[in-house]
Formats: sequence, structure tokens, C-alpha cells
Amino acid sequence: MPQDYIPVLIQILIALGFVVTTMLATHFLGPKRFSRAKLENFECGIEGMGNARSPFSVKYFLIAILFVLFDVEVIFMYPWAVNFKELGKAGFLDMFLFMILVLAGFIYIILKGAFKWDRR
Amino acid sequence: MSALIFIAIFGIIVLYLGFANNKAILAPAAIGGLLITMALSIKDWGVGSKYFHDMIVVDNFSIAFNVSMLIITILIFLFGVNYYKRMEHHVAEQYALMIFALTGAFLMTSYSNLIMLFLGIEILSIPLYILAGGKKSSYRSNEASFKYFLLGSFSTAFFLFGIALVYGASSTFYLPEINTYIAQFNGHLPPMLMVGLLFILIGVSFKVAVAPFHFWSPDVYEGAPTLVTAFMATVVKTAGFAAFYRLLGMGLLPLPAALEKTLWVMTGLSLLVGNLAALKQSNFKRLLAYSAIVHTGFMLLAMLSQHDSAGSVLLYYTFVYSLATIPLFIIFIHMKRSAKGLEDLVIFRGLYKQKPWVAVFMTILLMSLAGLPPTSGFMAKYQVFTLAISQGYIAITIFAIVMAIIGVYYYFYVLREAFTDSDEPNPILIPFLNAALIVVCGIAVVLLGLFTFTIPI
Repeated sequence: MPQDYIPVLIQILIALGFVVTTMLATHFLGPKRFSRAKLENFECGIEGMGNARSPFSVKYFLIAILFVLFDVEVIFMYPWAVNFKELGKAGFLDMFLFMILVLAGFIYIILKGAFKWDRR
Repeated sequence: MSALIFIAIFGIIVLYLGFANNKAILAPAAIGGLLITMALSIKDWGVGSKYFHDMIVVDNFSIAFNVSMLIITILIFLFGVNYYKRMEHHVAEQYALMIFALTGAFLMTSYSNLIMLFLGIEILSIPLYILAGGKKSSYRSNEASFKYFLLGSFSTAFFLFGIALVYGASSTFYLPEINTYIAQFNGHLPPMLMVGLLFILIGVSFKVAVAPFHFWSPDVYEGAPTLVTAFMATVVKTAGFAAFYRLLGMGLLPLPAALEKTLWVMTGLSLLVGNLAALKQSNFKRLLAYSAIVHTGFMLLAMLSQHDSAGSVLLYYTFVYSLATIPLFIIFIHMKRSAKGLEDLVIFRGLYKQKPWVAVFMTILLMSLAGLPPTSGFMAKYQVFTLAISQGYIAITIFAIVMAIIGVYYYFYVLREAFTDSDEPNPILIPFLNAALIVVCGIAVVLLGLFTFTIPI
């Protein structure tokens, strides 16, 4: 039924309203002082140096992809952990099988040398 | 089912065999594993069992197609023994990825639930995207991989959207239930169901390269490594058609009138577009890609006849087509190597002068693809046409026969090159194993034409 979605609509309006209100409020209320230091990119308080668009090693990309992969796989553990008692022995065996497959992949990439940073 | 589990685990084992640093054991081990899988498959013959809440149905149809795909993959692995000899790294991965793709193909032959079909198509496709880019330093190979990946994921999105719409209309993923749901409308389907079914058909048609969705295939066939092209042209096509047949047979038959018209137009277009484009090709791999599109049209013709024996005809057709295609790719790779990497049709010049027996077998194989007697390609086309005529589709059958005759031209164009003398002959070296493969496949193509088989599936 369309009216069931009214709470969602209210939620969206509140979220949008909050953003618009705070942005307008800071825009009109705050004092405006511009200086060189203030217009610079914020980098943890350290002074920025050099160009950010310099080439960096493609190995970062590999590590990032592998991280995403195993991160997503860990997410599967949460619902299992919450329902551990209800799922019982069958659930445990299923998860065991799943972990073996994940580990097989993990051992494979270690043996393949994906984490050896300085190997050519 | 035990075959499916075994082959999935076996892929991982082959992956780990790569760390043994011994390339020589890979192909024998992979072939041994496939033979065990075949034995496990055949063991289930005639049992007909269901698994995972009936999501997987292992019946004679799926076992027959699985065994056919296993035989073809074994032939391709035998081809791989020589093909991967020069390759230094990641050889085990090539075999493992093909075995993983085969796992997906097994799912595609034995699903009765749209989710399982989706999983099967994805498990088949993702290794293929990687395999198509197997030659890392070749731009062509990278282009093939990227094109296949982009267009493939696009078609997958269509397919998933179609599943979602069909689920929204019928609230089930099971093909038999969808079938009863469609039947209650007596041909006047609600728009949501209609669009959903159309999207599902688009997704599957893309995988088998039916005409309006065929644009990826020549580029991918050309760019991918030749062995992977052979795998795509044979095993993937067989799996795609098994899935297509199951989709129609279990879920959609009798087809709603609008969908049936769409599929007939696609059949005609495949035959026409494939033939007309093939006439103009000078690259051998592109030629075979377009010829594969034409063969897709013939197989669609068999499938749309809506006859009980269509499954058996389809199995025979795909098997015979694969048997003729693989040795052609083997001959092509040796001609390419002797011509220093050229892929044009001219590289076949001088073949008869140097290796007359290869030229003779090539004649047999191309005759089989063109559909001339006494080869099995003729028997396959003959069965398709009799099936279509017996169901009363006279006009489209005549059109298909005319297209088959036109096809003879470009197959024989290749033959003409093979029997022409070359101006600057390069030595053609064919190792024993590949020569044996060419001979065995050539003889099998003739024998299967003389003794046709029909399997009750």
C-alpha cells in the first residue's frame, strides 16, 4: 500500500531538511574570513606538499581489492554469529565449509605472492 | 550431483597444483579429473534426482549434455598441452579457470530455478572474462576481455531485471510453477510478465550470441587466445543452448505468441546477419565467429520446433559442431605460428603442398560445418530441418536451407586458400599430439555422420 511508505518519506524529508538547515545556518551565521592557510586542502594538520595526482604502485590496488573481498566475506559471519544457537550443528558445518573455501583462496594468494611487496 | 561437487573442488586442486612448478603434470591431472567427473556423471544416468529444494534437477538431459561438454573439454585440454608449452607463468590458472567455467556450465544444464540459472551463467562467465584476457601483453586480448566483461555484465543486468519482473508477477523462481502461472492467462500475458520474460530471453540470447545480441562475439573471438576461443565456441555454446532449451522446455512452452514471433525473427536474423558478415571476413577467427552465429540460428530452429526430440537433436548438433570446430582451431594456430602471427585467410596458402593429409582433414571438417554429406554436419542439419518441417514451419526451413547453401561459399573460400600454392612457403610444424587430435576428430566427424545417435532425453 502506498501509505505504508509515509514513514520513509518523512525520514527522507528530515534528512534533507537537516542538511539544508545546517548549511544555510552556517552560511548566514558564521563570520567570513579568507586567508591563504584557510583555503588550502586540509591534510590532518600537516602542510600539504606536492601534487596528489602522482603515479603510485599498482600493488595498492591489489591489496585494496583483496581487502574488500575478505571484508565482505567477514560480513557473512555476523548473521551466523547472531543466530548461532538456532542454526545449530548444520549451520556450524555450513560455515566451516565456507571458511575452508575462503581460506583456500587466502592461502592461494599468499602462495602466489600477492603480499610480497618488493618482489618484481 | 556428486559430479558437480567433485568438479568444483577439483578446480581448486588444479589451482594448487600450479605451485608444484611442474607444467607437465597439469594437463594429465586435469584430464584425469575430468574423466572421474564423467564417471560420476554417468553413474547418475536414469536416476533423475533433485537437490536443494528442487532447485537443481539432475536428469538424463543434463547428464547427456554434461558428458558431451566433458568430452569436448578433454579435447581442448589435449590441445592445451602444446599450446601452453611456451607459457611460463599461470598455466595452472588457465586449466583451473576452464574447470570453474565447466562447473557453471553444469549448473546451466541442471537448473529448475531461475536463481540457479543466474548463478550458472555467472560462474561460467566470470572465468571467461579472465581467460579472454589471457595474453596480458596483447592489446587485442585486453580489448576482448574488457568488451566481453562490459557487455556481459550489461546483459546480466537485463537478465536479473527480467527475473525480478517475472518474480514480481508470478511470485516464484521455479520454472514449472512459472509455466503453470503463464498457462492460466491463455496467451494474453500481463505486461510485467511479458517484459520480464523478454529480458530473460535477452540475457540468455546474449550468452549464445543470437543475432541482435551478437556484436560482442567476433571481437571477443578474435582477441581471445585461440584455445579460449575454441572453448567459447564449443563448451560455452553447448552450455548456453542447454540452458536455453531448459528455459523453454520447462518454463515457457507453449510459447506466448508475441515471444514466439520475437524468437523466430531472431532465428532469421542470426542466419542472415551471420552469413552476410561471414562472406566479407578476411580474418579466420572472425569468420568462425560469424559462422558460429549462423549455427546458432540453426540450433534455434531446432529448439523452436517445440518437439520432444528437439533436445536430442540439439545435443547431436552441438557435439558435432564442437568436434569440427576444435581441430580447425588447432590447424589455424599452427598456420598462424608458421606465418609469424598473421591471422588472415592467406596464411592457409601452401597447406596442401606441405601437409596434404592436414588439407584433406580440413576439407572434411569444413564440409561438416557447411553441412555437406557424408559428414555429421549434414546429418545434424538434416535432423534440424526434418524436425522443423514435421512441425509445419516450411517457410523458415526453406530460408534456412538457402542460408546453409550460401554458407558453403565462405567455408570453401578457406579451402581454396589451403589448396593454393604459397609464394613464400614457411615450414609448418604440427606436433604429434595435435596431429592425432586432428585425425581423431576428423574421423569422428565422418563416423558420427554415418552412424547417427539419438539419446532419449
